[in-house]
Amino acid sequence: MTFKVGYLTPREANIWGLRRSDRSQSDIGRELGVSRQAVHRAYHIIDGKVEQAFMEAAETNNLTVKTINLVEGVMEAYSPAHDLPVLVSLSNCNGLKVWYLYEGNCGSCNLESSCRSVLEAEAEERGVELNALHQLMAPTQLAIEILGRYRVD
Amino acid sequence: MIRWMVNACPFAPGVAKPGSMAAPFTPRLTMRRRLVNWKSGLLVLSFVSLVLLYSYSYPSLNYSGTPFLFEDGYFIRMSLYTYVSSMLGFFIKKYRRGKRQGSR
Repeated sequence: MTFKVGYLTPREANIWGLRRSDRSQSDIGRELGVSRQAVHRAYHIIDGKVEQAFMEAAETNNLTVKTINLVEGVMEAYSPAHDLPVLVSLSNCNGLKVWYLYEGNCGSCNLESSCRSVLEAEAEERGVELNALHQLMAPTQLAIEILGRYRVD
Repeated sequence: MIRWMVNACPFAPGVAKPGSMAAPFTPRLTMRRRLVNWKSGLLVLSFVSLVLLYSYSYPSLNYSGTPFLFEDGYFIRMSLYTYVSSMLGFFIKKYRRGKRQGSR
């Protein structure tokens, strides 16, 4: 239960993951062996914790919050310091991650492989299928392919 | 003013990125110092002195008259017990640490 994982307990993280797969509360309850009401209560707790984590991430990184998608775990924000739009993602595999939306330069970055593995895990958790074309993309482009779909504007 | 989104990078422009995660090169001298230090020396010295102490006081320790020190794998058994107890202690510590971190 740390900031990195949105303060979610393993049980809550599990419920949150199942919720993202568009399953009903009854289905999740049946799968976990709890009542629908218990899942409903857990949703409220999870929403509160995820929102708190996003708000703290925004405060820590000096971001202006635009929208928060509590179900998908994506926050749209803006960084006045860098004059850039920002996406903050929350997933069970990678925890909270801040993504600055600009060109980037993966060609000269020695963290390319670690970024790629982070994004591959993110795609897998979010149910985004990566094809051969995605494998050829730079991680900066791949990040937009995976997280760009959650942008509102 | 929000610019048109192009790509996404976990590092803001101009931020110094952390270096590569390659394992640091350990010179041979550093390795030797790591193995031969005052702690390991003290350990060996205490072990040798204990063996000598046991050996010299063996007749007074052995009340029953039946040999035990170098018989029936005494040293092997004692080493095994020491190893098992230290491993048990290590895992208990690890479990407690994990539990403490998990409850935060």
